[in-house]
Amino acid sequence: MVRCVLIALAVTVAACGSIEDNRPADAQYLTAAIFAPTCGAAECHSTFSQAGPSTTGYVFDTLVGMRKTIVDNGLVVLDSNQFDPSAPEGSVLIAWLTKTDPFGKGIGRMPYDAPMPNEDIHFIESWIRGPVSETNDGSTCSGSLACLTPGAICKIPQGSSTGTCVTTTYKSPAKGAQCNPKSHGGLACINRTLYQCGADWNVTTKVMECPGDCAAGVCL
Amino acid sequence: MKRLLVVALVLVGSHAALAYPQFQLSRDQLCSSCHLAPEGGGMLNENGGVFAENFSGFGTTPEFMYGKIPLPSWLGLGGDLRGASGYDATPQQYLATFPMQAEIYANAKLPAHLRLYIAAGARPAETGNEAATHAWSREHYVMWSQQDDGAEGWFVRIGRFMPIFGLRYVEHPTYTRQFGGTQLYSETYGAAVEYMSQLFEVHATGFIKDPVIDPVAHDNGGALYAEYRIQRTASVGAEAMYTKSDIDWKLRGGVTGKLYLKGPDILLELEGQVVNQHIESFGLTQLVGELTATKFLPMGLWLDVGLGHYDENIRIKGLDRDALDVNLHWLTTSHIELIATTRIQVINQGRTLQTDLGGPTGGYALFQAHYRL
Repeated sequence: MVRCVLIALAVTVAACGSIEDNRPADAQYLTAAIFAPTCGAAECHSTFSQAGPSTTGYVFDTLVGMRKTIVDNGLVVLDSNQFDPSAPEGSVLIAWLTKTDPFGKGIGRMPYDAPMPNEDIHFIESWIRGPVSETNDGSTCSGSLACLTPGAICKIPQGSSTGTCVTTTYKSPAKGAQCNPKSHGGLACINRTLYQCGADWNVTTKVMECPGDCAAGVCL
Repeated sequence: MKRLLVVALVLVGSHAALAYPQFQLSRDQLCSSCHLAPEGGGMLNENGGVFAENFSGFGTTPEFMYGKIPLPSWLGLGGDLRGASGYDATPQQYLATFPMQAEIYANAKLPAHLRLYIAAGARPAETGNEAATHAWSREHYVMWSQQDDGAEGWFVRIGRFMPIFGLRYVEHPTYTRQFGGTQLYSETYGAAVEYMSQLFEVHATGFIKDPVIDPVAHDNGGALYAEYRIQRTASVGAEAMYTKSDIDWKLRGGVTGKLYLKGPDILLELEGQVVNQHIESFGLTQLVGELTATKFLPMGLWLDVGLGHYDENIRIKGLDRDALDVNLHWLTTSHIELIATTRIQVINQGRTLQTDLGGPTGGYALFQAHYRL
């Protein structure tokens, strides 16, 4: 019996982990593996306690609940005038997970009494950011010479005074919880591009590139 | 400056009483010796009442409402009230005060070895649906037992109850409950076939997602739990559970063990699970474990020291949590229990190895009062 206990204890206590983080960064994985067990306990952000029909609750234990919670409560915003994927650590979602009373409501870092591992928080940030591609438009820029292409930023190598204009494309930030098909006429912005929302809360077809900012499903 | 906040809501969480597995082997062989349900928890039977009277510090008559309310022989009533107050660290500290449980139990003996059991009371109201969700029945089932009022033999149950799995601690933050398939309020509809004897017990449960309310458990599945008592003071168990939800499926397998050391009056309890979770085409393995030592003290006191381990994905560093729980229980009378419960939880063994693997330490220190009607 004692031997059994020791063997089981050794197996149990052994903290493993050796390979690169190969977890799929999509809403389904996040919900099942991270949000539901960590945030969606019965007395916290669960269907059981917050899915009432007359409110926009915070529900993290189902895929539909998680999508609604993220999009409808602005936990991650994809509008160009507040585009969280370019700096995921600034999103409301990450602020709740990392900061003490981030919004002055007397509500502290989540989850209560059992903080989330940093590795999971970084993984959520990578989901918010999504895959990224960078396009160099060939034009030269400097501290005093701005890029002319909308959305392009000037990347200046270290030690140089001039750089090139680079446009970053966020391919599918916050994949699986990008837009609500039932709000804003089923349209949503991802940065300066307007998309149609699909029934699965992912974007589907590209409607247009906005000449300026894009917010709340409208080119401004 | 540390913020101080009084939270009058459910915060760390309500309790819905499961069992005190600490008493099995150390004080009796079977949960069903003291409880109406074969797996323990909920309402006590007559022997359970006598045990509470003898074990508690100051005794008192154990019957419902001290026996002041006469009941017909076919009806039993009971109930539990619990509340807690103390510090919660996230890692910033709060003063939290919250109700935990307010439930009444009714047990009606029916003909043909049948009984109807109902546990009903308050629940945390659902935001935006408060009017309809202040009260509920957490458990209700019809049970057939081979022996009338017997602790052994076959039991068959249909209704709403927790799938029978693992060591079934009353403390729901225990990792083997929180991450181990029996989280708080995950009672659901199902059917169970169980066999209890002094030598061994077997429980098989099939269950579905609750179709009536917005549920806690979103799975359909089945659970198997078996325990074999090697001798009167030692047992080993095995457990398996399959669950399938809309977004994943899980297979849990594990072992349990208990060893009672008579001399020092200490019970050692172990539960270890390996969980295989599949989300779309991605599979991962988790570990969940709990090792607890219970030291029984005079005057109805007992001290639990538990070490919990949860690794969310064994292939990735920095996702493992360890919790140290120290709980001091005092069953002052047959009806009153006072509990000091503390936890400290660390991530990645509290180390920051590279970059910022790990995370902050959390925990709580709560005083809990429990009144059994």
